[in-house]
Amino acid sequence: MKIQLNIVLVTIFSILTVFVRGDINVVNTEEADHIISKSKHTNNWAVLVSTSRFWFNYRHMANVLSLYRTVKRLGIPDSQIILMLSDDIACNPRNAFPGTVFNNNNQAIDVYGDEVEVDYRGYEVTVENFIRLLTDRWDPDHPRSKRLLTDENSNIFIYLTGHGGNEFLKFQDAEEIGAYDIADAFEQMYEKKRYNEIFFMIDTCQANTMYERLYSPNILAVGSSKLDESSYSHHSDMDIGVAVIDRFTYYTLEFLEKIDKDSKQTMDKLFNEYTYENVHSNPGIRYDLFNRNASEVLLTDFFGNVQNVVVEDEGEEDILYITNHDERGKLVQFNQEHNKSDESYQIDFGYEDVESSQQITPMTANFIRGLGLVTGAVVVGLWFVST
Amino acid sequence: MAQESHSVRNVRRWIVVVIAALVLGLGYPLFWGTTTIYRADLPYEEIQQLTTNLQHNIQFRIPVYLQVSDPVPVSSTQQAFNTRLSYTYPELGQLWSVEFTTDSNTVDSHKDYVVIVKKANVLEDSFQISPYSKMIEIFVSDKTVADEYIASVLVDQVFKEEIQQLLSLTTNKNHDTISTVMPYSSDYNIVFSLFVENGVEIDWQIEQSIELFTPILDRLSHFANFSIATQVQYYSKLSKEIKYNEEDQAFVLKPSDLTTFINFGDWNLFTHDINPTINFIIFFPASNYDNKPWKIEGSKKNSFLVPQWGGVHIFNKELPLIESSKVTLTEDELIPVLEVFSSQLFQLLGFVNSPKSPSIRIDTLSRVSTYKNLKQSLESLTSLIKVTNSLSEISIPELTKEYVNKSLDYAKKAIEKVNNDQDYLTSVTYSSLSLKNSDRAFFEKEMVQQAYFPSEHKLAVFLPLLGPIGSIISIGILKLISDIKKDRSKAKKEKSE
Repeated sequence: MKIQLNIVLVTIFSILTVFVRGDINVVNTEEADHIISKSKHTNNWAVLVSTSRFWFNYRHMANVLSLYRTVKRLGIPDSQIILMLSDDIACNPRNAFPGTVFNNNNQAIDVYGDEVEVDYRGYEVTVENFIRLLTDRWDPDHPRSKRLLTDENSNIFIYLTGHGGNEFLKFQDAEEIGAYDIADAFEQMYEKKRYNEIFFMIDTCQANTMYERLYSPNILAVGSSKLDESSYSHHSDMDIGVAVIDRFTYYTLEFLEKIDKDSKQTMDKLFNEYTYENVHSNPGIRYDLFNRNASEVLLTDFFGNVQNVVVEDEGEEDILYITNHDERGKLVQFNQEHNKSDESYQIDFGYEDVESSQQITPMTANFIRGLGLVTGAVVVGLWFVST
Repeated sequence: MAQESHSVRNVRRWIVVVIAALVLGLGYPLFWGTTTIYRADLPYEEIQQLTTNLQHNIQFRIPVYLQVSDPVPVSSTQQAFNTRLSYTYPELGQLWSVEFTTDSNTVDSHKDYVVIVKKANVLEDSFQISPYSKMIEIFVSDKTVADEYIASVLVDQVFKEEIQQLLSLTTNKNHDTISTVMPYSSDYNIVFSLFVENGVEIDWQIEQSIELFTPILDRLSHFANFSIATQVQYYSKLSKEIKYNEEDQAFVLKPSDLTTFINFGDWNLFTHDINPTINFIIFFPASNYDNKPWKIEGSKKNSFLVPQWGGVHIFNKELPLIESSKVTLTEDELIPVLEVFSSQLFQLLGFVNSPKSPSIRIDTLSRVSTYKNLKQSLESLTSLIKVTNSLSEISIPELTKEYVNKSLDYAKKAIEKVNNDQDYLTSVTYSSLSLKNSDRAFFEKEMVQQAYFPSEHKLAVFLPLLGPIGSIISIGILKLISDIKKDRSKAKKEKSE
């Protein structure tokens, strides 16, 4: 009797669960139909960084330049691309084809061809500059073209390539950036509302370890290889004499080459390319910080610059007329009348000059002179004592 | 082992003590002084207090002057207005209201809101907002209560959008949609560009025409500085070919073509300035020479707006052109286009759509921007505090503190101007300065986090340095202590014997 009751209960329960599940499914698909998840961004930026030096790292420069060419082709303006190129292999004495960089042994496309605007080159590519770039902490006279002037409406594509290890990426054979440094920089960007969404892509050995420390929301991250795995190059060019591109980047580019400026292709199609057969390592994708599903994210949300436009049937047509005429239809001379009458809000915006010459610790000129004299006396005294 | 003499032993002991004292007294402070990160004290509590109380601290009380033919007490109008306002927008609280005063014909309607009530033999009550000033005329019949009607006109017409914008700011509701409004900056560039598809020389009378913008920009001088530039660029091709539509007798641009219309790769846009640029583009197609027009689907004005970026107009020359002669776009042809651009400028700067009068709209923009800037400035400061609290390795330079204090000062000044003087023009300027300083505080150059080093790295760096010295000193001290102990026990033994 008890057993029967149990069986009955179980069946009822399972039927119920089926119903409930069915319900959830229905809701989900309906929602998915309705919520065509649209990115809220209005502008796109790209930060492309190669971090390694020397001729035999030709492929890292080629990786970055190829992606530069691609995002530019897909519509991101040069003013919104930050290109960090750690070495000048185009003019390297060992380059058999001076002034060029190829990403394929068919040598079809010179990725160092026309109008390549390198923002940071050679020894300017440092960990400090990269962190400063992300957090925008510069001197006031730092050139605009070298700054990441994003806001809360910006989608940023960040691509790093070089030699990495467990939770670090080597810069310039001299220093390294840790996964924690990148994570903290992203957090500062998030707090200051410097991005809407970030697509973080990294092609190095053990690349996946670099994004595991990230903790700020709205970041989609992909890496080329997992912990203790190398990331491999795709092929060499016998004439150039070194490998010209990495596998992970090669398949990314191959896919992106097929899409247009206003393509509707989604991110998951790109991710489908990242198989072990293609890349020869295990690429990783991190979804948990990202709100949207990869199948709803357009590639152009990060690689392109598709702008939402407002086409108005009829706008206003008489603002200029109204502001230039008075009630009787006479032209008004606003210039003189206005500036004089309301002095209350004539506050000078240009107050930078006053502030830039500010003293933090107040010292009088005499005090400074005295300090100089004392220091001088001490130094001379020391010299006497030692002889 | 030969017994060392008493004096030598004493000297040796002294050397050990002096070296140990030197290392501890000089070395440790030096190490501590060179490795600690400077962290200035930020006014945490003050920022928090201002942030949480902003909505209650700031009170917009807009003076409105009443001109009524037969004297009615102002208080009744005020009461009717207050009831209406709190009924329609109960969540508004003390943030926003209107203060009525009677006026004896002396108030300038270009500066202040004037409501003129006229009793007339009209079938229906009506009102009229002057597009040139801040004058609102109300026509009511003898029977109706004017107070109610005045209240409804002000709440539901004149100030409707202003109240709604303020409310959406207080409740953070505006994050779901893409905003057309440019992010606020105290300086903007406005660039008028003529992009010509082919290379035939063209002349445009833009310099005379943009004079028309001076009145608006002058009246926005408290809001921001605007610098205007113009340029003509030839051979500016589209990135995509547009097909000729035989049915419409025109090249037709569909909405999908517009999203990638601007050719960022090839066009010479104005991008080198640090301040945001508002772009206005006139595209002059080569087909003007074949007398074939271009049409933007769904736009009568042949123009469209790119949110937070600018506006585009496609220019069709009315009369057929001859390729050999120089073409001129005259002022008369440009003015309708500039009217479109000015309407787009209003949208990009965040003006309300109604009422029509620019005076009222500039006023509204001032009030809303004051609130918006203050809110943003305080948000920046709050996130600065969050960041400095969560990252213990980041330095907080003295300059950051200076800027934080300055930002708070300006914020308080702005609130004071709003509450005490009802001076909404100066308050925008102050709020803008507050915003600027809060950004400077956050983006101070020296405030860069030290690179993260795992503890085993630190050990690897310091061990070769401290290991040899440290071990010798500590062994020396141990030896010294054991020597002293031995001596004492010896002395005790000798005494007891």
